[in-house]
Amino acid sequence: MDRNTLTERQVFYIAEFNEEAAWLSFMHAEGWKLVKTTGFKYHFESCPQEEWIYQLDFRDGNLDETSYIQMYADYGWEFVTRFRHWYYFRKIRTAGDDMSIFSDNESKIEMCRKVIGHHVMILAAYYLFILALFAFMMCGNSFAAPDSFLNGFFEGAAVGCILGGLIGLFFVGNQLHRLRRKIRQLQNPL
Amino acid sequence: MDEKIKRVYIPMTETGFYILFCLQEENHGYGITQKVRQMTGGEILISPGTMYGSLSKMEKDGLIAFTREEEKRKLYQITELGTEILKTELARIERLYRNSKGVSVNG
Repeated sequence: MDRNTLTERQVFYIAEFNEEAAWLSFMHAEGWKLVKTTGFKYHFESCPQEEWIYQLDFRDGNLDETSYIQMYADYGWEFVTRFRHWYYFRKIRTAGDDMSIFSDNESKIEMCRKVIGHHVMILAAYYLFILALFAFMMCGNSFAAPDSFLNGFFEGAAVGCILGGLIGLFFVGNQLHRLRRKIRQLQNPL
Repeated sequence: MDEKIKRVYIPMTETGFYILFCLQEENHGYGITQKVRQMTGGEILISPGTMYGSLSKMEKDGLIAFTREEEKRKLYQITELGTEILKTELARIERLYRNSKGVSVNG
């Protein structure tokens, strides 16, 4: 067992980027700095126990990574890793320094909106896929005999997709609701 | 001027105003933050996420344009449309200031 590395399983949903950042700061203070993440698994390397601030940024669309990362570096933010559309940055804590990658509420709201928009698109694409599968099943019935394996397979797949879709809708919907609440709080902190 | 653009950008946020104002001269993100820090006596510090988002949005809407790249940094400058928006906003702020001093606009 290598004592210089550590892998932790931890789940943070899309509305929990602040909680995730706080946890990564906590891990760093314990002497484990983040190397990379695959969403559910976090890989750490041992390091001096120091106070580092972690921040997550969500970017979709066209992004020139080189100049994007350079801009953060100019401000003293070290780029750590990227997981899908999430960019992880860290900075050593110094007195009187700004601790957030966002300096106004408008840009915080903008990021929440982007996360919502992106995941609504994913949900929509998934439901289109289910619709297409149903359309295919309708056609499939004409070439697969009613009791055949193929027919059963399609039925099973369709039921699975619908169940998956409902579970997905429940989880993602809940997260989207939390993001909207976050936006409302940013718009009106009172 | 495009009414939609006007509705989105006027009145401007403080961040948006200073970014557009600074880009009357070619500059990059961190350069703008430094300049704004100077102009406001360290009162306004624009962070990278906010800066990156604002620059991308203003570029997309045609208020500023990418001019060149220097050591991995993108430089931008205000466009004609951006100048028009800035002028409109400045007139609004000046009127606000005059009125706050109790001077009538027409007199």
